[in-house]
Amino acid sequence: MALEREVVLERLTCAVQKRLGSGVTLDAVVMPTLGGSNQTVVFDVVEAGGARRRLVSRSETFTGTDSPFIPPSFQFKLLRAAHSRGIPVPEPVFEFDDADGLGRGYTMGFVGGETLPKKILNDPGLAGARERLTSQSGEILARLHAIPITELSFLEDTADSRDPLAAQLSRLDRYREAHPAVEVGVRWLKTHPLPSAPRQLVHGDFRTGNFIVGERGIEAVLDWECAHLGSGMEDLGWLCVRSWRFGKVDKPVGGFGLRAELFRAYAAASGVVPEPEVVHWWEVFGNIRWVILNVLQAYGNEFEGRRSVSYAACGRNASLYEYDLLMTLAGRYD
Amino acid sequence: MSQDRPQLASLLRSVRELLESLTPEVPPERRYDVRVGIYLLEVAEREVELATGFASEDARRLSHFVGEAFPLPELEAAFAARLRSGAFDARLDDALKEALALVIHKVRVVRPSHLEPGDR
Repeated sequence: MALEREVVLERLTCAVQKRLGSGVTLDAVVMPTLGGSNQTVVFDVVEAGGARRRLVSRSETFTGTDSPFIPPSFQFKLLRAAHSRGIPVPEPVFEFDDADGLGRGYTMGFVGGETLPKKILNDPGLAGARERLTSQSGEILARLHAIPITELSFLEDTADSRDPLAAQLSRLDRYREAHPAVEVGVRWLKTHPLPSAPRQLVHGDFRTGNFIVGERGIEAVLDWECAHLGSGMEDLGWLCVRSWRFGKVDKPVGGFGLRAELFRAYAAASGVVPEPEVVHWWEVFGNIRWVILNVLQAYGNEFEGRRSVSYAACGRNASLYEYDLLMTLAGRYD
Repeated sequence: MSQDRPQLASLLRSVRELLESLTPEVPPERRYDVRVGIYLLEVAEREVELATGFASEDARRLSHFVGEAFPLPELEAAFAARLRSGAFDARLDDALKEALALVIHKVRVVRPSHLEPGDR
């Protein structure tokens, strides 16, 4: 559950002083979202001499059985692994511990820019950035997928790392609602099996809205709570899921680019040429996963006390993504 | 039970119109939630109008395809379970058409503008 603003502020100040010095203060505090699957606070740390550094804290607020999200401590380790390699992510600063009383979470450096999909895809001031997003996406994903998984063994024992499709079906079954459209998609996946692929880090939620865009393009990759080990092609397919085009349906890559350009950039950075059929398989998978994530939110709204109009809407909007899934499978959507 | 006017659809519309009229007075950080609330009421209004006809049409179609005479929720559950078991693998294109017909009805209630023009 989200804590009250004053309580968060007091505890956050203590937590920051413990790590960054008892003389620092917090200023310019903003709490942009309250009560999503994370509580976010953006703030300046001000040193006695007046020097300022803007940070962001993220605390987990999702409660419920069978969370599909990895714990913040795993996210923090992933940020470290990516940041140390120069991959654009917010700089990890410190993790909260039990004594902080802020739940499970961490702080990271603030990165300025735009995350709202409609602005990223339409703002005239970001026209130059938009031209770079496709090739940058290919390059960033290639670099993420190249992080040695021997450093990421903590991800091995998650449901999505063991078997991503089984993980989805296990969640759907828990929500006890029949979704024939999802089952059609699952049978299509099962009757079109993929060849085995190298095991890699999968970001799991790399899409328009989950990276910060500035004038130079992608400034930082956010939202690591769905990361797991698997085929890197899953990330490419997810980025092409129709929902992430936000109405720009003729630009399959996130509403800003074409698949061929994404694949070229990925191949140039990784030496691995993505096979369109494999990425398509993962796009179908991603569409199924997106339906089930929406069913999850409705289930939380109905049965687990996470009441909100947004989660109620998610439940009904699942049908929109089922339509996209079936239209894609029918060959009516690209 | 029979109720006096207004009917359910009209009650929902009244609340939606109230929320719409209040939106400018809502603090900016809550406006998104209010817009979502209005959206949910629009969904409910369409459901009141369309649900009965869609449900009987869905039950008729699906009963024919699945070969059972269950009520609609059980028919959908049986359809989903048989798909999961692979029973329709040899007719997956036909099963897709049946599933799509069900989904189109759901989307006509939830957000008809999401559908291709021929499906609205």
